[in-house]
Amino acid sequence: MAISMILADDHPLTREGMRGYLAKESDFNIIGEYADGETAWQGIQQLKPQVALLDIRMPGYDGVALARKIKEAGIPTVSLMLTSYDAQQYVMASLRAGARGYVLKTASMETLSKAIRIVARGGFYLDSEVASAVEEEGDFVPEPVSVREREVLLLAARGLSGKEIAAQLFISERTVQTHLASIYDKLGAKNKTEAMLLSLKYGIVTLEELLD
Amino acid sequence: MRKNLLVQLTIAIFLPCLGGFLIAWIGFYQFEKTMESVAASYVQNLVQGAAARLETSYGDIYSDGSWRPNLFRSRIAGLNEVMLSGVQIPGVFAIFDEEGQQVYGPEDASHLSSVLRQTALAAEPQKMSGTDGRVYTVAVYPVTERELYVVAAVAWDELLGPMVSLATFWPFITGLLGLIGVFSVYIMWQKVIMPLKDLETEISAMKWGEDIPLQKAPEAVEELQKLREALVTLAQSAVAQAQLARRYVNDLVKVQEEERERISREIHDGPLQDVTAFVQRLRLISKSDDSPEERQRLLLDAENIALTGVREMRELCNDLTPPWLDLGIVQALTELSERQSRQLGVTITLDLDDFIELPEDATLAFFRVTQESVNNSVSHGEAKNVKVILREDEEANTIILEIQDDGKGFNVPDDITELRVQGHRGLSNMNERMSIVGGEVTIHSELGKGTTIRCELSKDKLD
Repeated sequence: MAISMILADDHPLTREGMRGYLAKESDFNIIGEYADGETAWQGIQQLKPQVALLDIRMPGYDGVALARKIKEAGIPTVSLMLTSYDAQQYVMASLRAGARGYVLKTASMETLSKAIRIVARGGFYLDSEVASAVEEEGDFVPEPVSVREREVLLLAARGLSGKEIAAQLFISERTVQTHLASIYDKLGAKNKTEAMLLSLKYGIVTLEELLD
Repeated sequence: MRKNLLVQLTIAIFLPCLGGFLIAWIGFYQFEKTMESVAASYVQNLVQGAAARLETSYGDIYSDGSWRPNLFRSRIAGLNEVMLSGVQIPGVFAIFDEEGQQVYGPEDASHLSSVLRQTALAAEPQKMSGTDGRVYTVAVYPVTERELYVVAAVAWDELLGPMVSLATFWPFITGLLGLIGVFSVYIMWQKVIMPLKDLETEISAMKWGEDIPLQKAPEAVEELQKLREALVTLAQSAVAQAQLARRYVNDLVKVQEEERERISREIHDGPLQDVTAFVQRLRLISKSDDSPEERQRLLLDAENIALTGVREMRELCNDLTPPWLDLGIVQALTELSERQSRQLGVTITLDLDDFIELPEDATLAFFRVTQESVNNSVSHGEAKNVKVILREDEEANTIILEIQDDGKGFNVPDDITELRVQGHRGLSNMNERMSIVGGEVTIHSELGKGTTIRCELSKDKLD
């Protein structure tokens, strides 16, 4: 069965290019195209597509706000961010708003198609350019993360400082730092945000756990 | 009513002095007259009294009341008998015969005979100056039926004592006072009023921030000289300020131009080259008669070139104004620190209060200060670790941002504004960024111990 989707992007050239891409896939069905957040929101409410491809910066509602509205309204549409911005904070903001995937506009056609199929199935997709793993995607399997490390990561993801995590887990701050360093090392992450994104990507934590 | 200082001085000092002077003069004349009449009546009494005694001594008064001369009495002995009755009174008198020969009187009184020649008989007493410089009143009286004359003189100071000197000095002192008053008005005019006028003229014609008044006013009083010096100091600092401001504006313009040049160069060297190369590849493909494999290779090449262009432009955009600033200060600082630690190879530890929300301008200010600080820490301080703290001080009701590093440290200059003009813009920029949103930057640095940049922003300043 074809996957129904809408495309919201304020740049006509990009939109056209995307449509050209997606039309080549037989199982994709583009049912709406919008140049701003407001009309996209109306379209989503009416058409209830399986997937909404959302640009982040748009007039009216931006992509992150749209994803949040979809989640809050309980519409069974999955948001997939399709944007030029590679800022990891945008990824985090989108995920917190309810998006299930984040793909850069420069991603290859295959990557985009794969991402759409994954999120339509209820999965989660993250562009490798945003959270760059040491290895090429697919083959890299990170070393298993210990239970304690996972706990530390989840608390860190909720914005707790090293001191607060230490207090909550009854360990020293230095131990917290050691755990975090070990996680970064195993995942190939350079910082906290990247560690969170990579642990999502590799299924070490779920989106629900992380955003709890 | 506002009056000219000269007019006020004239009214307050000059006119009263003049008035006092005149009144003293009138008083002096009155006094002089009184003294004259006192001396005259005294002297007249003296001569009449002497003459009466003389007349008595040359004759006898008989029981029928008639007076007859007693021819047996010697003239001189009789006189001595009569006159030396031993009463000490002021003044001298002498008796002369008609030839001007002194027949009685103290030995030094012979000069009084000259009075006889000068003065008409029975005339009013005369005021005269003595050869000793004193003032005398002199009277002449003829003795009845004898060719004798009594001449008496009294010195004023002997008769009236200190009253004479008082009457003489009184107008002199008052006149002197009047003169002093007039002179002091003149001094005031020269040392105060004229310099004040000059200063006033100079100040009203002065362009603040350009002109400096004359350093010296030699004729002015010390206070005015000090005032002038203070004004010169003020004017000098205004000129310095104006120069600094001019240089500051120049520098701002220069920075703007440099920034434009930098952006232009980056676009030229990056994306423009990519797009040019991309267009060349496309032309190559459309014109080539090569094999499908060769065309495929050229296509892939073109795609890669275009992708490079996209990445370069994305970085350029992020660099100019990061779009993710709109996610909020915590996210913006997180993203910034992740990028900077990657680009600069420095470990950045974040301690950010997640609940802090700031308006756009404050977010941008904090963001830029952090960006600049971390750049400085690495490029000037060679720091390996940087800590960024964002917290709220609830007691002081302020938001505090602190950037601490373990770099070399430096000597903090006193005036950060001066730094900009000297070409060190970083710290000065931070200062300006924060002051625009109403915050303050304090810099603490110690050689060998690292640097801490602290920004404080009152929550009252946030809308």
